[in-house]
Amino acid sequence: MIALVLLYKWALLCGVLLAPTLALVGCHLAARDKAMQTLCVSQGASLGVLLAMGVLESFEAGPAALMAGPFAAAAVFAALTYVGGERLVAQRQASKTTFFTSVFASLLALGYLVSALFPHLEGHMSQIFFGDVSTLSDGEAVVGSALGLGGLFFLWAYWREVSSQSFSFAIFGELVFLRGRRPGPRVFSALALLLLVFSVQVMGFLFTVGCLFLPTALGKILANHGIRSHLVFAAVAASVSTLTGFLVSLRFSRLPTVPTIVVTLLALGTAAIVVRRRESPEARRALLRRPS
Amino acid sequence: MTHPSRPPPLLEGSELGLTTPDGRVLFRGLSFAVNAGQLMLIRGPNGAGKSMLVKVCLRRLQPNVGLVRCTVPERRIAYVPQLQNMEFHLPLTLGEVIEICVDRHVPAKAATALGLVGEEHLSLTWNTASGGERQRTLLTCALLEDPHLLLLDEPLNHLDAASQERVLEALENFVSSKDEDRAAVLVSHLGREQLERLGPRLIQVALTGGGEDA
Repeated sequence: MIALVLLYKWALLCGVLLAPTLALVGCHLAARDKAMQTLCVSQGASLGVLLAMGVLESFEAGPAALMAGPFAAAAVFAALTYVGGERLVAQRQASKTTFFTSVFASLLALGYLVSALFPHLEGHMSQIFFGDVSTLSDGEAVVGSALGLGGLFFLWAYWREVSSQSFSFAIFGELVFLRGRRPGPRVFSALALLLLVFSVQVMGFLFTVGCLFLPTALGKILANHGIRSHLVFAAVAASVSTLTGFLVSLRFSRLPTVPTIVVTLLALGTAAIVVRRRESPEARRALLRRPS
Repeated sequence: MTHPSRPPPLLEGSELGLTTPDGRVLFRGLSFAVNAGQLMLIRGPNGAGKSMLVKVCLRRLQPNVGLVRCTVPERRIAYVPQLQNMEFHLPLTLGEVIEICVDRHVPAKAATALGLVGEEHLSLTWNTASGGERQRTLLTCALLEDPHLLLLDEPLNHLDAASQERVLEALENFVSSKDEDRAAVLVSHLGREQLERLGPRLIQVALTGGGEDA
């Protein structure tokens, strides 16, 4: 087991650092009511990766092109999906949920069509959707670790600023109180887009979306008093689940890494909710006994 | 013989006109001057263009005709827009709302010194606080920024009489400050009689939505 952990040390580090960064970004995206839009942008990035891989592999491109090409295509498709979505929602032709569900279905269909056009993509299709942390190259894992660490530092250092932007967008529909301060909202958007594109390409759609939104959804039940505790909970839950899930999938080799990580996150969260509910009558009684 | 020159208004609008993209005239020929120590009340029915006028004052919206002059530096202007959504999907406490809005740790003593929120309110979450507690928290955020010009868009909506009174008292204290030149713009459905205590400090703009404004 230790030999396996040492073999996958970079992949493990990448997952453990990327997961909490995605979880923190997910907290703010969910707060800004952008979960469905993020799902579409992730699907747009997946489509870009598929298309680039299909074309590049047809021309027997080298490994560097096979790394950079899909990343660039994913970034362009993700950015187009984001900008197009923002513009169409601004016209208020339909509710956000209806609109983004339709976009997601269309992008899913396009992705399947692209994979049908390039038969050698069949293997990549499942890799892009379900991912596999154990197949990460050392280079990808080092870049992912650096990105995760940089993202974590930014979100820790500027937590007030980013939270203020989320609050302002959600409550007022615009930015207020923020004049003359740095960084502006574009830094967060750029970081979110970069993380999302890299994570979809390297870790897969399921890991990305699971780490973005499951921790904040669980945090709403388990850490629901104070934004600080919520953010810490989301980051720790994502990191611990990635570590635990990856180790479990190494121990039981038939278990795929990413679904195991996502199910571990869900299982740990559910266990914590059950424990908390069992404890809560006692906590309530203790509160009643406390002198006022 | 020279006369001591009167300081220029903190905010001035001259011959302002605004039309919606579908051609509806919201206001035209609208002029006002808000001097230090004054509060301008913007009144009018729904859809009359009250919030649009505030955005014109902030220069976030360009009027079709007319000019806005503001002598207050941008960093000294605080603006609390109308609430678009009541729910926030992160468990933010009111103390944390103040902290993130002013971008620094604010001791409870400083947050409560303005008299709008008590220490017991700071641990309430945004989603469980009442409308009055939320509005008073937002006003606290704006006042802690030490603004010289304060623009509030319908801060009294859904507030009971006691909460309205506390907000109005804070506004009165703000514009009456003797240390600095301060003025405020308030969008509200309140009648002039409810702001009588301000006396000559109160000026009023009544929009009708049809371009005939007073």
